[in-house]
Amino acid sequence: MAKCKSCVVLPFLVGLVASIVLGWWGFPKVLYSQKTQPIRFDHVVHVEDQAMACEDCHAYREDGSFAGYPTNANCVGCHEDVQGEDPDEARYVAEYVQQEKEVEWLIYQKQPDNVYFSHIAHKDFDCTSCHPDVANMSTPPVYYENRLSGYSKDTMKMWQCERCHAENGASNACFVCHK
Amino acid sequence: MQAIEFKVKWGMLVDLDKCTGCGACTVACRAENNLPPEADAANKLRTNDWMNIYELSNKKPFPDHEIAYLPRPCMQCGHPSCSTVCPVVATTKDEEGGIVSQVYPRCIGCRYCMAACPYHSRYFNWFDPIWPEGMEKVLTPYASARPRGVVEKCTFCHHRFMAAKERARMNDEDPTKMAEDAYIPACGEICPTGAIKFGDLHNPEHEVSKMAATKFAFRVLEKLGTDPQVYYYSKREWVRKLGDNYLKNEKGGDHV
Amino acid sequence: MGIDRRSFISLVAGGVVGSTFTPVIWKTLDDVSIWTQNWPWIPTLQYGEEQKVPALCKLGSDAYGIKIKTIAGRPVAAEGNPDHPLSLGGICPLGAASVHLMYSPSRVKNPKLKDGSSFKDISWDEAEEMLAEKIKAAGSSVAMISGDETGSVTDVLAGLVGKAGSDKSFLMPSESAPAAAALAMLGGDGQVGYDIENANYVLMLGADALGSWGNVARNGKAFSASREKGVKYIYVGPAQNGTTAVADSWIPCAAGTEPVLAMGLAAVIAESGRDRSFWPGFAAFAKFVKAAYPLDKVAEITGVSAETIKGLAGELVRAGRPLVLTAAEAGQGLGAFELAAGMSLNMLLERVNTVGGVRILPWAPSVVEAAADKKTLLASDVVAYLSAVADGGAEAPAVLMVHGANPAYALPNLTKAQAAIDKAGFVVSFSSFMDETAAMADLIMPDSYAFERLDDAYSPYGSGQPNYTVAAPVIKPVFDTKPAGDVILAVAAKADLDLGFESFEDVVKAKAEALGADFDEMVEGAAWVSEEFPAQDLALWTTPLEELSVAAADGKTLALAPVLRLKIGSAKIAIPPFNTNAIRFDEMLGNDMYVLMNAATAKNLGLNKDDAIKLAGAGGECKARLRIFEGVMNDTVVAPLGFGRTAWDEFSRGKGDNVYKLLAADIEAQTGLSRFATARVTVSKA
Repeated sequence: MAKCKSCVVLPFLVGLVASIVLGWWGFPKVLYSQKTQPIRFDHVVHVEDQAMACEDCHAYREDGSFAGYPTNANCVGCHEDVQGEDPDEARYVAEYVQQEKEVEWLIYQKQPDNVYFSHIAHKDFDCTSCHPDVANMSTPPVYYENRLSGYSKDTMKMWQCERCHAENGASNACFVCHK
Repeated sequence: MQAIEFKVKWGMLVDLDKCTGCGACTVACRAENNLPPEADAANKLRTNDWMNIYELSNKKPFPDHEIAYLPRPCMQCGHPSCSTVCPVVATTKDEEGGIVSQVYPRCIGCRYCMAACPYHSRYFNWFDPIWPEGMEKVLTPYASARPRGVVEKCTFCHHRFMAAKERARMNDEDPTKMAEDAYIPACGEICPTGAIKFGDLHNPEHEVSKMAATKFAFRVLEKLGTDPQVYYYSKREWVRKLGDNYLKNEKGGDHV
Repeated sequence: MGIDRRSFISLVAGGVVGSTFTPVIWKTLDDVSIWTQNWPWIPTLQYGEEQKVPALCKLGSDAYGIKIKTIAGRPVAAEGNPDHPLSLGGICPLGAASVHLMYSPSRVKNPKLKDGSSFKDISWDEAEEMLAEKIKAAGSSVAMISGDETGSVTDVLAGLVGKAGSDKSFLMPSESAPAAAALAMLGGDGQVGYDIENANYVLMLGADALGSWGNVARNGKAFSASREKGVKYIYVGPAQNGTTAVADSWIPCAAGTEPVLAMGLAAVIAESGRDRSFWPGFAAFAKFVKAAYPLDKVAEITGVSAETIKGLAGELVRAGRPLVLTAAEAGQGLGAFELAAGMSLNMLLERVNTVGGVRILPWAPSVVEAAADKKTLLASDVVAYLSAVADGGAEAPAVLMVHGANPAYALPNLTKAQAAIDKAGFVVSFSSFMDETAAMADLIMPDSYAFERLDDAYSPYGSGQPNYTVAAPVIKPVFDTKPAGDVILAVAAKADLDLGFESFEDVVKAKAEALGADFDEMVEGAAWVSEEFPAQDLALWTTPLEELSVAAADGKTLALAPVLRLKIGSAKIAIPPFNTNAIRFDEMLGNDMYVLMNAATAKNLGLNKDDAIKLAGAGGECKARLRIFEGVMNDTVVAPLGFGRTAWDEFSRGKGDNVYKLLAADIEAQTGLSRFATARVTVSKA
């Protein structure tokens, strides 16, 4: 076959594009497995229909710590018995409330054990600065779990905290965030 | 190395005239900070003792013999020997308050810091922690469980400092100006004789500052220039003189 | 067109270049490095709401309120309870370890029946039926040993024994028994306590008040508070310890002879100063101490010089509110006459039944009718009983029930105690842990652990005021265990022995009511405290005192000074999992324990530091290593109690040796109480 320049350039470009596409589209598909929450918690029902405020479930405790995901103790105020028609609610009451078992919620932005995060130190920010606005979602977002590291895709990385701290004049000392 | 001057300087003062060497501080520290249980703790080169108690002696024969007990946490030195030698900056002294940090995922386990620390305050996880079945249920959320291969040390219960700041913020108080009893490490809180006192060495109202300024206060191995933030206090001269290595002809020498 | 080598390489090159514009390489490296840090066997933390829940710690001989930190309801750490009068925020090294003991590998997880040389699991129903049958068949040949001096479970168990027609209810040896008998010798009636907080001169005759005696946390707080007020703390004993490290002075005194010193001091004080001749009993008392305990004799027995004795006497008299605490360093082993010596000294100084002195507390109310009351229990000596059973002098019980006690490990005359337990027809242990007694038992009905059950405690020994603490369970039982109080009531009912209560909670409520305490408030964490002390009619020499017999020095043996260090456990608990590190390098060498003697003593015996040695006493032998420690009197060897466990788990088994083996008890004729504080041992190379 005669030497032909395009026989080098074209495969190169094909390889380039293919790897970019695979890297940006295919790789995440392979890297992340999808999971759903054990109960299909419907924020819309609670926020709109029941007119609940965020703080009714996601609130600061007396000692200033943040109760992110409410426990059964919060929910049984209303859900001691089945309230509506949703089969997931019925399942919640039967499998969790009555068995006195806490729901093992998948935590989208769970930080590793060696990280310390204080919500109250960030109370001047809107929740949506870091969290998606789930208040108007009927279905909890899909939980993407990294197959290699075991963490959620939405877990924030250190550089995100550091950058915001640097921009706002907060300390970036190691122990501010680590334990 | 230039030491950073912090506004607040967390310090501990241990009154050796009140320490009975009972060991409650050692045990409480392990429970609070998720130290792994060690079935065989006889080999002290392999154990992990954030708070370690030494028995001091005036080295005189009976009946003139006297003893004292000295609990030794991490000194959180003003000029730390450890953080200056860490090749990966897993340990630094950069936080307001002056507690020397130790970040486990960053530590590569070279143990250079252990070689550098003159107080033997640093411990290496030679083994993975093995919790007897079920005992992992009593882990506190305050300190991560360390795998083998990383160095760890007393952190003055840093998580309690963070918790105190959260409480302050919850009560609309300034987290940089907390009350004296807002933050105390586990060892200080539970000591049955109240020998371990804790507070801000830069605040002249705090008991640690007042006692540290008296002539009965001393620090261990001061001459090395580490500027430790842990003071000891004793009205007994022989105890104070054990704080450093004096030459026989030095003022302060000849106590043994 | 086919793909030739050049195009292929070009494709791959393109791929590689392209991948550097994607996150693949960096992300993979990052994720793999995270993966290398997250080994599945490293536990992960569980978060949740933090609370501090009141609880009761009875792991040692004390019983005090502590607080348990819980995360989402799970106990994670123990700390002092600032609101409890016996804690005031402090906690001892056993209390600090209490949460992890809940998951100790030696926990008995379900009822067990002896099967050959090991155990097989059985159900609670089977176990309760079996025990009820055995009790019915035994008639009045039942006996019980309890280590819980302060709790109502003892009342229930004693009730069961009493209802069955037996009087064989015993408590483990302690300070309370000789103290109560000593008080009776002065005409008093009640539980002995000490108002240390208000004393201004505390003379500890063998009482390791800041280490293991009485209410350790409370004593520590009282000591600490007193430092600014110039209160003096003097420790008298054979060896230096944590208390002497902080006390104002240490007066070396031969092991177990501190009560002799009390008599010597009494002799000096009785001679001097004011006219006490009109005091009832004083003349006879003064005549006795002067004749039996002249200065030179006391100096010879105790090793305390005449001058020091006179000096001490002077200080006691001059102090406005002196208080003498008499005890054995090991927390047990003194007879009633020894405690009476110390009590008489307090009487002489007019410090009994007064602020800052010895306090006499009312006995706990009896709520279980058939139960022997505390006074009776304290007067019955378990060592005497078990020795008699072993020797054939007493009938072995058909059913022996053991609760909160470890008689197969923690008693003097140990081989006899073990033989007696062996002889007993059917031995039942309610222990939460596989201790030495449970290992010997025929049936184990595991009690729920401290934080898993309702528990109560009335005025542990040493309390300066009557107090009552009730603690609700912090967590549901983590294993298949049941609270002993409820189990015993159920078994009693099945055995047709009606104790008058349906549940243990009813017993505790009855006791609270009898005291005038509010059960609901106490369960929230408020201890009941009273300022009422029963009127007393005390007089010296109500019972004539006698000379204390002391094992004589003979040039061949050394005085044995057994000591109790709470960090390695107690008579009830072995080394807790978290406490192994609290054992210093100068306390153990490998798996051997150190015993202490000074250089002069070692030289006389031709022994050197770290030598493997053997201590041999009337009761048995122990192996140890020698540590030269100048804080010990001449011709004395200090040995720690608490080692040499043969059951339990890897944290305590096989470490050191059991010093209880060396203790031989003799029985005090007048009271029947056992005495074992002046043991002597020969020490030689192993």
